[in-house]
Amino acid sequence: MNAENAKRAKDLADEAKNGALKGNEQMKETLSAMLEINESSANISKIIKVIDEIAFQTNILALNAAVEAADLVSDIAKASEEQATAIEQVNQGIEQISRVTQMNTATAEETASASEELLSQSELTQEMVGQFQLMGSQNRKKVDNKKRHKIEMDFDINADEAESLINLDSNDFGKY
Amino acid sequence: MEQFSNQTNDNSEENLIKYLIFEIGSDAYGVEITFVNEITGIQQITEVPEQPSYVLGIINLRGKIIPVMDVRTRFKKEFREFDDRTCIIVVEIDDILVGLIIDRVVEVADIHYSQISLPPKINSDFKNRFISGIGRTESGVKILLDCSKLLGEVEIQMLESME
Repeated sequence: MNAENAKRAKDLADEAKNGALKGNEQMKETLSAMLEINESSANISKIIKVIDEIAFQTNILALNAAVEAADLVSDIAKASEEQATAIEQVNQGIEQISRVTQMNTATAEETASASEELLSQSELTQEMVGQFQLMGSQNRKKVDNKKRHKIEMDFDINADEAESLINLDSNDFGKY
Repeated sequence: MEQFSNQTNDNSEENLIKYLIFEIGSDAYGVEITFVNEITGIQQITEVPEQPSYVLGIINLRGKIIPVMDVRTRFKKEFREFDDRTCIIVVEIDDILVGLIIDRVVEVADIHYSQISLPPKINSDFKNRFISGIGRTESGVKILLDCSKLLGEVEIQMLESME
């Protein structure tokens, strides 16, 4: 009976020992798992810091964009103001052009009436010229006779001059 | 809160003024966005000798040399070490660029002119001359700064000589 009890006690002790060993093992595993968790959470806080930094930079970028946009808006306002004055200037230019055109039209009308007058005057002149022509042809015969005589005289003089020139040339030629 | 929504009902674009809101400690300030050139994180500051305590020195911003002023010190507040939220707001005052070092930038806010009150008349308070008004917004009261008065004539001359 005692031997039996002793054996049972030994078995129980063995079991207890195994249990303790297993417990120890699991404890170690838990410990290493804890270490891993620790490491991971350190990484997470690093990542959060990076995200935070990115968020900060993004915010600054957004604010700078807002500043730029405000500049752009004032630039656009200025540009549209300039455009308005440019349009006003163009309008004034067009008005001036239309004024000048009106003046030109009036001048052209005057010119037209003046040229009409000129035409009637030139018709009158033509008529007068016709009358002169008639008078001229009556005088021509007398003039023609006088003219012929003068031409004959001129021809004589020219012939003498030409002869003396020819003689001179041939004499000079002999020298060379 | 209701009074704000009532006042903003007659909003038209021209009655809204854009302000860049920043914080010093727990107080919110605003500068008119038209004066703001850009916003940048804290830069390496080179000290320049014989300057008032609030002019911390100069920064080199992409080749531009810009004097920087610590707004905390300017407002006679306690100096605070810079952190990763410290920013420099580069403002243009009379053709001069000046960097304002502030604790943190918050947002660009549209403030309706009817929501801006005159600064309190406390003659003994030297800060008053920088303040153009008090903006009342849903997120709280903003102290609106007059950029051109942030620098007195003496300071402008001094900064010009630094260039």
